[in-house]
Amino acid sequence: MTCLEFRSILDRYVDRELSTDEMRRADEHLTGCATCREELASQQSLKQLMSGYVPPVQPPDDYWDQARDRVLAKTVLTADREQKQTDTLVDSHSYMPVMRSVLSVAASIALLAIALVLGSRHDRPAVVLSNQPHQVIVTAEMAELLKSPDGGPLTLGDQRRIGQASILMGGPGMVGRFNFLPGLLRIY
Amino acid sequence: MSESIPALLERFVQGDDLAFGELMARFQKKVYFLAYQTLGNHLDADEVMQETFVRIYRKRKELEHVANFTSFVIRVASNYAIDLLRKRKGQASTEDLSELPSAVQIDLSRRVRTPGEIWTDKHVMMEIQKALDTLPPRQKLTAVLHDVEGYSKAEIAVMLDCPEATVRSNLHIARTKLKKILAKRLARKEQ
Repeated sequence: MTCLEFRSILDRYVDRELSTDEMRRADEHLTGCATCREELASQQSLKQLMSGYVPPVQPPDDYWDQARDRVLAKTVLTADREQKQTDTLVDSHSYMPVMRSVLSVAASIALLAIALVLGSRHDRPAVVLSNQPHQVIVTAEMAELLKSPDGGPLTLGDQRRIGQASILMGGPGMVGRFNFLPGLLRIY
Repeated sequence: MSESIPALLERFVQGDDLAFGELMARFQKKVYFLAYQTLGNHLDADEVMQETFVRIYRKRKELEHVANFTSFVIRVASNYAIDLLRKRKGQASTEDLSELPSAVQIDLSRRVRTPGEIWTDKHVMMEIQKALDTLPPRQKLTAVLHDVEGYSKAEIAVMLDCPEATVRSNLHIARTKLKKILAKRLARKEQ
């Protein structure tokens, strides 16, 4: 074994990881090589020195309990607190899905009721005013309101109000079924 | 009779916080001293120790598949210690013993492994710590875990999540550097 070969296995020699054969060859080399013996001694001294190493400072005895308490405060106690907060939130919000359902059903019933009431108030079909120069479609209620006492053509003012009413009430559409709107617009 | 680590681990995984406290009690000194040897001061060692166990607590569910809890703990601690060292650009901030309150300084005579040996002198320990501080994080951790803590190269490979060849290489480089820095001390020891 050469010095170079010995240096390449020095760590394993010191750590006692060599096979019996490798160890025998290394020992044979060491017998005749003072430089490698020196190198080995240095390496063994380092290993011994390191194995005896302890940090030069150590915290006071009560440090360990205090440090453990701090970790527990960050982990176990925090987790407990978060769990309790979650539980509280769940309790306080547990009725929310039920409330939402109840409100949705109530709103649906209310809309249905309004539709029925409004629908029941519109029991006559839309009317085409026949005595006008242009075709005008209005609700039956409006047709009655718009009837001129003399049956003659509508005045320009009447036509303008009909136009406004048609736009605002949607002609024979849904909004037009509010029979109080012509009164509000002073259509008569 | 004290409960085994696997039994404590199983209880902890199942949600027993008392088992977590017991596991911490068993490992906190190991983690603290490893961190101290790596970072060179109490404040950083304390931070690594606490953060290691906070992370382990959060990984509770993953622990079910951990075969070696000791390796797992050291791996978590090593990763955090390396992160801290990188934040400090690889420079450990070793405490000056003369500036520490006496309550924090160790009475080395109570920790002597072989009474009478000169290597128990705290100034020797400071020399070693300062020599370690010159090493890059992974070389330092490898040297500490192998030569100080006595773990095998295969165990260190698992702890540091690297091939065993890397452990051998890092250890060799670390020893070569330490020998150079501690040459005078080693020469005195050999005499």
